[in-house]
Amino acid sequence: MKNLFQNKFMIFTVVIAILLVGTTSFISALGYTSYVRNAIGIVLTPIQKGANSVFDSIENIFSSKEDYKKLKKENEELKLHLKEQEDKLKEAELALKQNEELKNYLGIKDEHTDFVFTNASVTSRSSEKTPNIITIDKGLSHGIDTGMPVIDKYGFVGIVCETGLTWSKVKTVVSPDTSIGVYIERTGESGITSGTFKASKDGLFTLSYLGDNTDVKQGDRIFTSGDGSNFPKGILLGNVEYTEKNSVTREIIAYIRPISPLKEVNEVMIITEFEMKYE
Amino acid sequence: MNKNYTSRIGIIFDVLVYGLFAIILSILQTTLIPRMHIYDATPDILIGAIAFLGIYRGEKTAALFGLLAGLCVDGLGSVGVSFLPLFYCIGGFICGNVGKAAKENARFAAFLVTIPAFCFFRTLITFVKYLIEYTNTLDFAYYGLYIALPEFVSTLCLCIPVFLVTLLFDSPLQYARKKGWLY
Repeated sequence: MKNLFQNKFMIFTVVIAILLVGTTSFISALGYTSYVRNAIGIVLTPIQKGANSVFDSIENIFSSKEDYKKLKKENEELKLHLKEQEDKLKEAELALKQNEELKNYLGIKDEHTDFVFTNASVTSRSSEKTPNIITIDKGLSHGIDTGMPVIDKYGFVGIVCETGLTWSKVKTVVSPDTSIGVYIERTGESGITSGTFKASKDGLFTLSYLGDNTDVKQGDRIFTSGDGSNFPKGILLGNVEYTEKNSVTREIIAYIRPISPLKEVNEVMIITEFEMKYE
Repeated sequence: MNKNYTSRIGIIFDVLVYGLFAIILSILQTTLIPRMHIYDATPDILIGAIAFLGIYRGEKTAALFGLLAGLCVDGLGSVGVSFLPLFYCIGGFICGNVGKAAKENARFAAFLVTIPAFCFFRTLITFVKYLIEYTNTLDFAYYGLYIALPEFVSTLCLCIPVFLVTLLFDSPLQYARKKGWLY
C-alpha cells in the first residue's frame, strides 16, 4: 500500500474512481441516474442488446439440438412417414402456443383498456439465479420513468427503478427492494410482497402482513391491489407455492412463484399511463 | 518519424485496444456469464484479464483497464451502490506491483499466486452486496456453500481461459511494440 500513496498517477486514478463510485451511488440512492451510468448505458446498451440476441440464438440452437438428439434416439425405429407427421404436429403445437400467447397478450390489453403501453426488449439480466434486475432498451426518450410497472404477456414483471435516455433498469418482483400491495383473488385478503434470501433461492418472493386467520392456500392467485396509486389494480403477480409460519412472530408468510418466467423474459411492456379506479 | 510522436500514437493505440477489450469483456460479463450458473453463483471473467494486464503490462494499464471495465459493468448491470470500479482499479494496481516484484520468467507463477487472493476479495465484494440487499434474511450457511464457494471456484477456474484470451488480444500490441511500429 506504501506504493499506492507514493504514486501520483495511482492517487489520481483512485481519487477519480472514488469520486465516480461515490457520486454514482449517491445519485442512485436519491433515485436519479448519474451521468456516467447514463452515458455508458446510451453507448453500450444497443451493443449489449445485440450480444444478448446472439447468445439467445446460440442457446436456442443448442437446446434444439439436444431436443433433436433425444427425439432421434427415442424414435429411431419409427418410419420416415411417422416422423414427418410428428414434425407437422410439432409445428401445429408451436402455432397453437404462439396463438395462445398472442391471445394472452391481447387479453391484457382488452381487460385494461385504460392502460397505455410501451413495448421494450430485455437487453440483460443480473447475475442472480432468478434475476433481481433486468435492463430494457427503452428510457426517458420513450416516456419511461421510475416507478412505472413492467409486465409481460403473463403478468407482472417488476418496477422501473432507474432510467437513462435510451435504457431502463427494472427491479423484478423477486428483488428484496420490491414491495407491492397485493390481494389474494380467492379470499380478497391484502398483503405486501417482498424478496427475501430464502425465497430468492427457489426463484420465489414472499407475501406477508396477512391477517392471523388467513386462509391462504397453495395455488391461490395474487393480483396487484392498486393501493398507494403506484400500480393499477388487477395485474397477476403469481401463484402461492407454499405457506410457512414464522417461528418468532407467528406470522403466516406465503411464498409466491412469479407468473412471469423472469430468467427467460425477452419482451416486456411498460405501463406508462393508467386510470386509477377507486372503490 | 519523431520519437515522441510515435510513442504518443502508441499510447493512443493502447488506450483504444485495451478500452475495446474492456468493453467486450464487460458486455460478455453482463450477457453471457449470467447464463452460466454454477449453483447460485456467477463467475467474474474480468478478474483474470485485470490480473494479466497488471502482471504483464504494468499497474497503470491494469488500473485504468479495471476502472473502465468496472464502470461498464456497473453501467450495464447494476443499480444503487457499486464498488466494482474502485475494486477493479485497486486490484489492477496491486497486480501491477506483484508483476513488478516478480522476475520476467516468473510472471506466470506470480499470476497463479495472485489470482486466488483476487478471487477471494471478489467473493467478499459479492458478500457485501448480498449483506446490503438481504440484511435480515441472509442464510450464511447456504450463502457460503451455494454462492460464495462456487463463485470463488468458478472465477478461479475461468482465469486460465481468460488469461489465454487476453494474451491473444494483447499479442498484436506486443508484436507492434517489439517491432517499434507505434512505440
